[in-house]
Amino acid sequence: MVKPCWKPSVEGDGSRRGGDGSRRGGDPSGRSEGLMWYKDIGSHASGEFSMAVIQANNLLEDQSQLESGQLSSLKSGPYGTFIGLYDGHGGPETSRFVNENMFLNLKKLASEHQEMSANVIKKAFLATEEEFLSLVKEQWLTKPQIASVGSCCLVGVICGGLLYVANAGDSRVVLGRADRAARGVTAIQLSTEHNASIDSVRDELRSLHPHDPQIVVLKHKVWRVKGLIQVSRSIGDAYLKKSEFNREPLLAKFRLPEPFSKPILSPEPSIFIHKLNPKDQFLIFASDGLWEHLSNQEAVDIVHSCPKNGIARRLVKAALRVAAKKREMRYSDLKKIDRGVRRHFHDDITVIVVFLNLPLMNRSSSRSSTFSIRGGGGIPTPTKS
Amino acid sequence: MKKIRGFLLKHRVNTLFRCVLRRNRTPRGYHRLGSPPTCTISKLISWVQRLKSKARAICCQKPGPGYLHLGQDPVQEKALPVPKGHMAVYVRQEDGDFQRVLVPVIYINHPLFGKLLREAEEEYGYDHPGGITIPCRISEFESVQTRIAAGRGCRKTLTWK
Repeated sequence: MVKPCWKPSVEGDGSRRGGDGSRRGGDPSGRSEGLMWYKDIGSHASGEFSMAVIQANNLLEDQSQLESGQLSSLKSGPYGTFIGLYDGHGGPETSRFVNENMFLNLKKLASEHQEMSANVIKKAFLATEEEFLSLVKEQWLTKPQIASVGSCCLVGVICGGLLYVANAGDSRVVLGRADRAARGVTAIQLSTEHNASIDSVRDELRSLHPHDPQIVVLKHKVWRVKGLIQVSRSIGDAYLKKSEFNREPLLAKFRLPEPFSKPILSPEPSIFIHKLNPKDQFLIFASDGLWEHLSNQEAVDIVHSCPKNGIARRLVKAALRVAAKKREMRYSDLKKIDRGVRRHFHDDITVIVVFLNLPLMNRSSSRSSTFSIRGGGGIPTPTKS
Repeated sequence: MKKIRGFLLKHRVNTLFRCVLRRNRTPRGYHRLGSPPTCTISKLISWVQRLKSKARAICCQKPGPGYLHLGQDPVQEKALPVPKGHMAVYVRQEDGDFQRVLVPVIYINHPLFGKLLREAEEEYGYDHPGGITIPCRISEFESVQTRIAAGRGCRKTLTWK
């Protein structure tokens, strides 16, 4: 477990400039190396963070953002850190759209309500969904495939000593909490996932659709909603939200045999509010690509025992080592596999590690700066030559 | 596949004998002027040791039983070391069992292999446990491998990126 820490501290990071936190760890907007994008270390309103993304799909479907500063358009309004992690499926369109619009919607709603709350975050999800479905409607005739694209959305907001976690889909956030008795850090999962592989999710779907025996189907040893999709909540996936998008010219493999009156998937997030405690050391936000290879405790142990600088990249590498082992090959050889084909070895993986510094959180002098970063650097699809 | 494994093994055996014989050949029959005469017994012992270590290296490289029964989780198996630049792929045999085949990693990026992988995805999805499993027949798989190898023009393609 601690093995990845024995490696020399992360390479390719020579241009550390110190001083301004946002510039530490190289380029403020991150760096790319082959299919990997990373921002080894930076500062947010209440501590430091580290981000890394590895691409597996032909077009990167994972999108992510970290916004630090004002969380509304009011000067007196809520201040803190916003983390968004959007794991797209069927294409990159929805996750890109959410990456552009979720935070804007949240800011707008927080200004209207003059506060940050679970209700504001939920409304931001629903507003983003509504906007995306209008986009699908606009493009339906020219680009019907957009109806089959969707995205899981995980949002974390650190504000006023509280952490709000809102999740629709199967990304996950895990808290690392100092445990004096065990002389280590304990992993506490804060997000609720909506994957049909979980019993309670299947039960929920069956109770919502009591007349549909085919609501969840086991396919390739994996539970899928209508035999098509593993998650039960998402933004997008218009073809499973409105019957009008489940007909020709949509590809036959996405079309259901019968029209439906009630949406099959839901965009509503499960929201959890956590009061931050001085023992809370860090949060690991990651798409399911990481969690299929690392357990919560394994990930927390790596973050606890290794330097902060480059920690997200270290987690991604630890997951890739496991992925390589599962496919009976070496990690060094996995790196030779091109994007697209890589999907057979692992999924797109995004990791954002957010360190929590409570004293900093309460200091009002740090309120002056704002900072914004996008996973992948906002550059469309890094290409491999 | 036999062909490729045979080739690998032959390569190893050749290297072994080349190593062992080459070292032994030079000082035969005479001693260089000024060099002390070496003891034949110690020479013999070191030769046996070299032979032993080389033989051990070959045994370790052996890809094991060659196939796994369906349902047996390949990851759970005691990890068989895969040579650098290669990965294990499971291909369906005539009897429905799966044969474990070692494939150069760079073949995986080839469009012909991509077609096999798409079939694998349709059949098993992306998230199946264990090694990559190809639903095609071993004969079809071998022909794809031969065509990729032929397209590369030579066998020594491992350094290609």
